[in-house]
Amino acid sequence: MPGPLEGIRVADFTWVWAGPSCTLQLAHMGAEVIRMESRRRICVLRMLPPWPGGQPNPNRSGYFNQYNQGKRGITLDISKPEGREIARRIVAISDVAAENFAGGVIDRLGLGYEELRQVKPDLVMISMSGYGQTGPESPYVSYGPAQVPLSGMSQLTGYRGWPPMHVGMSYGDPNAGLHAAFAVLAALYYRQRTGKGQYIDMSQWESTMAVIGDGIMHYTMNGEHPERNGNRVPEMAPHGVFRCAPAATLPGYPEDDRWVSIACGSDAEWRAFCGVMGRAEMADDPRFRTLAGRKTSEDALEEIVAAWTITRDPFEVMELCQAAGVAAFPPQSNRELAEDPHLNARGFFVEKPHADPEVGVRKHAGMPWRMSDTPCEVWRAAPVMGQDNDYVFGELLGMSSQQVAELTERQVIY
Amino acid sequence: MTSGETPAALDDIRVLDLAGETGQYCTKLLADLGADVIKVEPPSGDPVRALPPYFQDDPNTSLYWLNLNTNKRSITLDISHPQAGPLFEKLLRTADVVVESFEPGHLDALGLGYAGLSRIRPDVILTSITGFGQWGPHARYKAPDIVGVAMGGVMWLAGEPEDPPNLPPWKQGYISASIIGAAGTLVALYHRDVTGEGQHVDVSMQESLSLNQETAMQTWDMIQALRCRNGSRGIIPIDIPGIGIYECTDGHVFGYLGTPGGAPWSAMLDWMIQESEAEDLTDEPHKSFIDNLNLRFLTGLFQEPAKLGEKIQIMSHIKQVLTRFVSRRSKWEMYEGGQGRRLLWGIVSTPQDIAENPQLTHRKWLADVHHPELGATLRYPGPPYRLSETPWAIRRRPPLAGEHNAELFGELRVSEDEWRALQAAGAV
Repeated sequence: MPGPLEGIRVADFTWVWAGPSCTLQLAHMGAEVIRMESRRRICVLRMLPPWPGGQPNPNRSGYFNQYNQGKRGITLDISKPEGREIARRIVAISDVAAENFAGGVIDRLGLGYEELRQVKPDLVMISMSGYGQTGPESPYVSYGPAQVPLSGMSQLTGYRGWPPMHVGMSYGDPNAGLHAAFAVLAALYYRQRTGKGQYIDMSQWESTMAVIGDGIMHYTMNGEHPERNGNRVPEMAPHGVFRCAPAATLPGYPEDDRWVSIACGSDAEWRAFCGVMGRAEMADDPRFRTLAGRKTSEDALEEIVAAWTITRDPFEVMELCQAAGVAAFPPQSNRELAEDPHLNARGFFVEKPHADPEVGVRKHAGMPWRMSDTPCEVWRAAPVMGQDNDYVFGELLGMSSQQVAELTERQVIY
Repeated sequence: MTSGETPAALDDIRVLDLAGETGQYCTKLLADLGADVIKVEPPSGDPVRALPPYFQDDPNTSLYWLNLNTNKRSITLDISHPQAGPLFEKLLRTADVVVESFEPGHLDALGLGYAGLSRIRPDVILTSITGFGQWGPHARYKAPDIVGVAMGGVMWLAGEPEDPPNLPPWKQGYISASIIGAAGTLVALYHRDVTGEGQHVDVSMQESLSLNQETAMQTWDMIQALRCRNGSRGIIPIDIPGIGIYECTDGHVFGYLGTPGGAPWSAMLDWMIQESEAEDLTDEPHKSFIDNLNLRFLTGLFQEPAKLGEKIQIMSHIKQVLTRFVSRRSKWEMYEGGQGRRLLWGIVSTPQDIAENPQLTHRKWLADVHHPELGATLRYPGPPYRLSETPWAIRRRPPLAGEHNAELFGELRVSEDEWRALQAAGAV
């Protein structure tokens, strides 16, 4: 696979969202990622929508296919001793092993770091459990959606005076996956210099708390709990999301669900924004001239901004503001994102044919970086179950077709 | 720069950190694994130093800034000053990586874009972290964090349906772009060590966040539906008992019952029966409904919420009984009692819950760092990951502005006369 990690192979035991979003980054960079799945316990993402035509089918889940692009897929039941033995053989020819079972599970399967380093001494292995491999809560049940509230993020999210709120999706998962990919790269870099592998114990919980650091410090150092404050921040005003003119979008969706975010930091930006609104005189209004004033009179300020946006299209507001050097952008729906002219111009979306013709060519979010010297490319869509059995068992491990057939018969390859 | 015996994964890398808020978590990730990150601050200091929250109301001690700048050194140097060139060049010759987050074109205008930098240091890696990336129709749009999460599709998913989309806290746009920037930097270093070639890594906050949208993209692509926000119910658009935020005697908990890996919903009912608080949930139609409340059922609901019909009332009643059960218990009773039964109840943690949590205490997650000039030991968030051979560590407290000027001028053999001249000219 072309890319800066060409030649690196990843034995991928991960499932659901967090783990696969880590190995997705490695696949994007050119590593050969071999996802080990089993029909005995199908990956949760394969069982979740959306599916083309709305018909459930484990090979067609858009959710799974988004986060497993560019990976190879095999079916192997690692609950069976023979399956585990084959998994060890795959690790022996890999550079990285990744898993995200609950704390302690991979050790009980006999596939923990201490065992795997016997077959691959310079292995880099990452475990991404919910709570880490040690400590009293280590074996607790975890899913990404619960990491958001556990990390403190929900306590700090929401409108002023309201109860805590979820951030709307399972943010703990991709955040853990991104941190994990970085940690694996650091370990690979170290291995390249020293020849030494290592084990990475990552707690999804800890990696989610790491991104709300000053909220935690505010308590540890000042004994204060930050308040939920909707879309406001101390250092900018206006800083919020304002309702725009109603317009029909799709049948069944409310016409007034149209918004634009606007933020002014400096007084110069505020002045420019007053010009955009056709209210140049307001720039010198003593209530709003300085940030301190705008913060004190933020309710009145927001009313003025909202009265201006409510008669306008959100993208029109964006263009008017940005042309004047004022930060503004509509909170984009999934449709607006898919149709975003900038993302499309940058070639962000990946459209590769999927092995299941019912899936065909779909539009997936692609690589978040452009590398000038080592362009990365998704070489293939996500695998259907067992798509690469022949390649991995036959070509890489050298099994005969008779052996493969026999293991399939006994549901080791399953 | 390691101290003591423990090696660090990145301790042979020097990074010049020109980044503003957008990219400071990137250089923190590199510094916390041992890279020698030198912040190049304007003579008046990095403006991010002025942002709240503050340590004990002292506007000169920003906790926000401190958290993002652990393990870094600081030099004050105005890179746009005409006389700063030779010193910056000396510094650049010793560096492997430059990280920046200026508006695209800003460094080019100073002659310090990728072309300019690589003339001085041919194998340099330049990582640029901006709202929309270096090129494309929106490349020059302004993009503070709120714009980032708006344009990246994440904000659309958060908040109550009738109310505005809601900002996730603590600048997740900057954070996501920074993590992607750090990973891009490392893979470029890996490639440099193989081939000897540097490169320009162009990171977009919009693209970084777009990766985090769960099913949103495919929901449009496959079934032409919008994914809308559902407020406190969490990610599922229907009020399902046991999923979402519930109020306790002393705060809130989050339930995520009936998912694979944990116990079935019926284990929750058993708990309620055991405490004699199941009310009529052991009767029909509630009992059968609970027995079937699993992922397959939930997936069906996802697909065709319209088919729910009379089930809405059953679910609503189960939720009411459960709400009463939870409301009589503390966060810890729900968390421990639930997890003891393999039921996923999690605490909606306050920062205090985090600071006092036994699991985190056991793992020594919070990190104490002494600040002699404050006469205080500050307690920092700990490692996002633990590398066995090359551990994450805070080896050095965040720098004062220009704290390492003399040290670095010494390393770079800048004479006292040169230094004085630069100072007189206002470049340092």
